[in-house]
Amino acid sequence: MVLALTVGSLPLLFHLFPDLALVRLVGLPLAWLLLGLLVYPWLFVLGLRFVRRAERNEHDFALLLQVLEDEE
Amino acid sequence: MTTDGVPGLVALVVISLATLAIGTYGLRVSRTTSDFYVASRSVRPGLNASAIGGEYLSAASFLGVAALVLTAGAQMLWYPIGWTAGYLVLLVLVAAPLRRSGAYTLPDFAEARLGSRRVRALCSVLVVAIGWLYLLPQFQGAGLTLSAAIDAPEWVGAVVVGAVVVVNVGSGGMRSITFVQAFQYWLKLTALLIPAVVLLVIWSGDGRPGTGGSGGGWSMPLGEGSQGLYTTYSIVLATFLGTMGLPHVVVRFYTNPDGRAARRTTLTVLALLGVFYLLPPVYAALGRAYGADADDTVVLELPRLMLGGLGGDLLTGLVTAGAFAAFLSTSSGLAIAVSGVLAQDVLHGRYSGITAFRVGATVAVGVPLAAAVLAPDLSVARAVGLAFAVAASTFCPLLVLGIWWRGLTPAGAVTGLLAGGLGASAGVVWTLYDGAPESWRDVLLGQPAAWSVPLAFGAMVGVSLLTRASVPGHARRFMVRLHTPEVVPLDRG
Repeated sequence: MVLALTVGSLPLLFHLFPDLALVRLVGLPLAWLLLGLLVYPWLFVLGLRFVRRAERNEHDFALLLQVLEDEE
Repeated sequence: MTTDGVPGLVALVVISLATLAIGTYGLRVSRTTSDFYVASRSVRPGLNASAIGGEYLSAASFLGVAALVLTAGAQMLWYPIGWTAGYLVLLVLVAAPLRRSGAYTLPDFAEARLGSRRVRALCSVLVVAIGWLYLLPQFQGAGLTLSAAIDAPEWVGAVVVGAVVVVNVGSGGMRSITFVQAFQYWLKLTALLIPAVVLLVIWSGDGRPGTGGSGGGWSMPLGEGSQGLYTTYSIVLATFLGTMGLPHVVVRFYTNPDGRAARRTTLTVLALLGVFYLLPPVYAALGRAYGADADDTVVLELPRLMLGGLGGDLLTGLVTAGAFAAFLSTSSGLAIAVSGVLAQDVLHGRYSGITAFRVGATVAVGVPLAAAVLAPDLSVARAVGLAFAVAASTFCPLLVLGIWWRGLTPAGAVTGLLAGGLGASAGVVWTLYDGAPESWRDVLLGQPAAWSVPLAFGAMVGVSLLTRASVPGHARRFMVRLHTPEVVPLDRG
């Protein structure tokens, strides 16, 4: 269970950092646009994706337990 | 005092009265000790997110950032980004498990997870230290704002904020503060958004004066050379990871009904912060275009600089109100967190539940208030930055490892907290004595997070591995509880 959640969320975390670093490298001429404006919707989208995924995982997990219980 | 002070004074009185009135409304529904500490864990995501936004967006985050961006340019945009992204890290790593731990405060969490009174005591000391380090600039900033707005001596603003906070926190605790802070988020957003739009229209009408030389490093997102790179990464690390370790942020997560609500709250916070942080750079750019003075009061002075007469007065009143709301809400949140810890860990034997909380609130506010009045010369944004560095080097490793690694031992936690805490504090002390960074040593100590955070993680993991035998017996059980959704029936002891 713990493992499933860890694996479920870690890729997203690692996903997060290279993306932010990338924004910084590409952003030199567009620094203001990227750092002052676009970064915020992007953070929100990442957060939204994580919440959806986590809720789906938990839902599936609860369902799985239900099925196992019913079989007993 | 001249008539220039009238809008500021009106704003101050209105905000203070509105805060007290909403606090009193909350008082009518605050009855139990649980109401005082965590609003009986029943705050819905929408309201809770507004409250977190209200509490988190300190005046440093717009007065300070606008001034920093005006002075140093785009490299300072990393502060608001880090303060927002900190919530994404918090969301992914700690939000839901922390809520499921069932603890009231950070020391509670540490004790429940590691079963050690020693770790608990150390965490209590750290909560109070970080809280005070963060409260100090709030009070100083309030003094600065008031002296800019109505020409009052600098101690007046600090004392007014301190008094309102003690009354509100002491009378209604978390339940009433939740309403106050939610109100203050929307107030702050309005108070900055309307003037920003008006000023942008004026700027358009003035033929869009430029910011004067796009060269000269003002648009560079990094400082010069390898020191600049180091500084940026250190800021990024401190703000990304420090957010989860701020006592007033963490305590809010315990007010969610369940782990799922904790995640939704965090997501809403991301949206609210993202909208808000679009504004400080606008003020900074306008300040640059119109040649405003580069200090912490640029946001307050800009309306009068660009627009004379009644319009300028009204907008000045509005931004002053926003700034004051920010001082009040951030200080209230910190005071709650520090009071909670003082009441539970220091005053518990001597006073009963709610009385202990009230005495705690007085001490929590009194000490940094005295320090702010006695030592009034510390850059607001700098002190806040150091509070983040200390939080990132102590509570971040404790929370992350405590939630995701079964092998954490009490000895490992103590070593890591001490290593990170002392390392970052060395930076704090050094910066207080020595201002401008020149050599590498100054840069390293001035922005300690980039080395003190890995140091703390390393110490925690290393010592935990050495003392493997003392992994608490209930660790596995506790971990299951942290990560199991509430819909699954489970013995939550």
